Amino acid sequence: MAVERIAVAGVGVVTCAGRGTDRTLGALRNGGAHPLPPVGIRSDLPSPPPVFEVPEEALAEPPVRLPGGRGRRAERLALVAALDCAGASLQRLDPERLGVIVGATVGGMNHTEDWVEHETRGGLGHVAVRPAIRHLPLWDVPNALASRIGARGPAFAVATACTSGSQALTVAADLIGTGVCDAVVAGGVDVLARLTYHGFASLGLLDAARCRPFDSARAGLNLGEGAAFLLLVGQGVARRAGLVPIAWLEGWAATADAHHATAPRPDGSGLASAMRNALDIAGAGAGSIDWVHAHGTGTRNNDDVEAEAIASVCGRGAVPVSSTKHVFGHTLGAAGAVSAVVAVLAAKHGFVPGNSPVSSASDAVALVPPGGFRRPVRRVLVNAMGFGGTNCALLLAGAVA
Amino acid sequence: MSRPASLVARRAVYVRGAGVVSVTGACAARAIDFIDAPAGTPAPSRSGPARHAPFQPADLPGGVGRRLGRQPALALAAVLDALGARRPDGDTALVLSTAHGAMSESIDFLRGAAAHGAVAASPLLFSNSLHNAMAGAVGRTLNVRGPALVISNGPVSFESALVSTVALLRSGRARSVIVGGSDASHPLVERGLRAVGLLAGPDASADPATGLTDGGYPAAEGGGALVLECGEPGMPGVRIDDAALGASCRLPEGALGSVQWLATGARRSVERHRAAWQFLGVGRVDVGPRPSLPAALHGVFGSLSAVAVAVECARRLSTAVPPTGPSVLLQVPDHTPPACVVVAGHGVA
Repeated sequence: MAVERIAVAGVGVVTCAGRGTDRTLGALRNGGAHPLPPVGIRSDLPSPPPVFEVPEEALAEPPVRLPGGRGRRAERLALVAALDCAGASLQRLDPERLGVIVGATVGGMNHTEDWVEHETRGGLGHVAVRPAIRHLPLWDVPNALASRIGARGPAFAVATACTSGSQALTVAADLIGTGVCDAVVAGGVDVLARLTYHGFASLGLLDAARCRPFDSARAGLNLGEGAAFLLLVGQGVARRAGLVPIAWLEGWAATADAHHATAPRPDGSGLASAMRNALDIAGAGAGSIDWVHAHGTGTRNNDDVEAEAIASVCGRGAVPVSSTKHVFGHTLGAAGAVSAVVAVLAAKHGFVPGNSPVSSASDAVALVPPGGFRRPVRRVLVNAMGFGGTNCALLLAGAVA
Repeated sequence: MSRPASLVARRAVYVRGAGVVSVTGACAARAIDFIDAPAGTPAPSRSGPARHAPFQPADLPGGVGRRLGRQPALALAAVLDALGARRPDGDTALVLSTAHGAMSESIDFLRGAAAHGAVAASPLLFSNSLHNAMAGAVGRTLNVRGPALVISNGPVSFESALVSTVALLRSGRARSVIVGGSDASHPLVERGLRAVGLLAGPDASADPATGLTDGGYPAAEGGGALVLECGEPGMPGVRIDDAALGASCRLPEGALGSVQWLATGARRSVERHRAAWQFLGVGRVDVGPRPSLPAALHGVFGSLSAVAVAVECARRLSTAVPPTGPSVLLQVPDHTPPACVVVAGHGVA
């Protein structure tokens, strides 16, 4: 039985670099801006570590009326990215067979944080309970998105920590591949929240300066926020609807480490297994990979394990590798989807984004120098790892592959 | 792993085990006994404002629950009940669901930071506050390393997990999947829900004649789990014949066995279900006003359907007598589209 290919028919992204693929590509080419002390969240940490926040002007020209308030920021970011990715194609798709899958870790936590703080020490003025209850859960975003774009197929949230955005794409691919949906708007969103900011700080994982993925002197990650969505469509439906693929999702796989609550399995076998499975599903060999878009958070554990996993699948130093966390920060539940959009842009524009500068690094991986380089990009392997021992790999190919 | 040849094949999904944790404890058989007891039989446990399960994480075998929050521990208890003596293969997939995740850990983390400053925030509470903590905990306990997902979609979280599970099995990415869901309570959220009229008070009870409550729905906690595998159509056994969300909800052809409304017990919820049911199946079945499960089992925090589907599967697994037809479990929540699950078949003698 023929297996339908999964086309990427649109992408949308909003990050600290702004809204849209042009700004995203521009930040990748020029290295992006430095992270800054947080503005959108309160912190009583003595020296609040810097973050990558989405500028308000990124939301200044909304495609439709956006919900207001900090408490619904996740919904606003997701809506902007989802409409940018799918807006022009929606009329050509059957709404009853259109799904919405959203990866997230905290969703609309901001309002809930205000409410809990109010309950704990008072003095914050009136905090409405109903929105706090209503927007606490992650599932608010996919259902709001589905409602706004008129999708009537499955809509739900995937919450697998920092692989959420990637795993949302794997779920979407399965739904299309098994005939449940014709098309799915899939991706991820997360906003800066006190829970995650102070949580990562409590674990000692936030760098006080700009993060340096894979640098032997790296000191942690920078949190970011953003949203990224891809319109995935079965090849046959895309052809009938006149949608032109801009890339293909050729392989997708996830594994679990079954090892530790926060630390990855030290031998990297969980991530390596996900990478191999994604290649196998695509029927592709490691030699066909032109770039590995690493998860590369800048934490000690993550980067060591990931470097070994990449080396075990692709060979030591055999494939160009870079992380883009120094440009966008770690956007948590959105990270995998942001990385997937960047992979699509790399294939489309023949540009491999650079890693941040390193003083020295493991020889397990051949890091792309800062500034990146131009080359034809046929296939990109996109990695993601997360708390709970979750690993995910996506294999994206350019439209001509 | 090879490219899945069965990617679009309509293979049947068989239930190999079903587990429940609820006010009746971590045992599907006890939940069934309670449901089958005469109307008015009091719930076996009612400690606190919500109907809490008589269960502590420390009760889990081998001490695995010592550092777990209550919500992941409830999921693990249901999964262990579903597995029984079976040991899952190492590549088994996990698809877990929750409406609110580890709410207690999130709230306690935020409260601690608010009261004592962010520098005193607890790293353990933070890592346990993430939804994915439940997948990590279950995966580590069972040592399974296949794909692992946590899915959240309010009251239809478990149905959403089933939709994803069926796709995972039929795609060939997994041969066996443990799918489960759990939600726990928290006093602060109960207080908030009560303040906005969504939650019945601690002494509220359903009208014994109709099963309805007017002052909001009754609070409960719990979870359910299934062990699922793909097989060729036509084999004996209990099957998940359909799991659907939104516009794809359809009634199966032919005679139905039982129908269950996964209504919360609040009058408006039951009325919504009645309207949806009549839309889907008008004239085919006699639709009464009562929610299908005793109010004491209702999961205000989102995992009612995990309990209900697991109970239905456990009931069918335990009997070799063919039921009259498939069971349909329908849920029509406030803020998400409707969802339905169709369970068919019976246990093998």
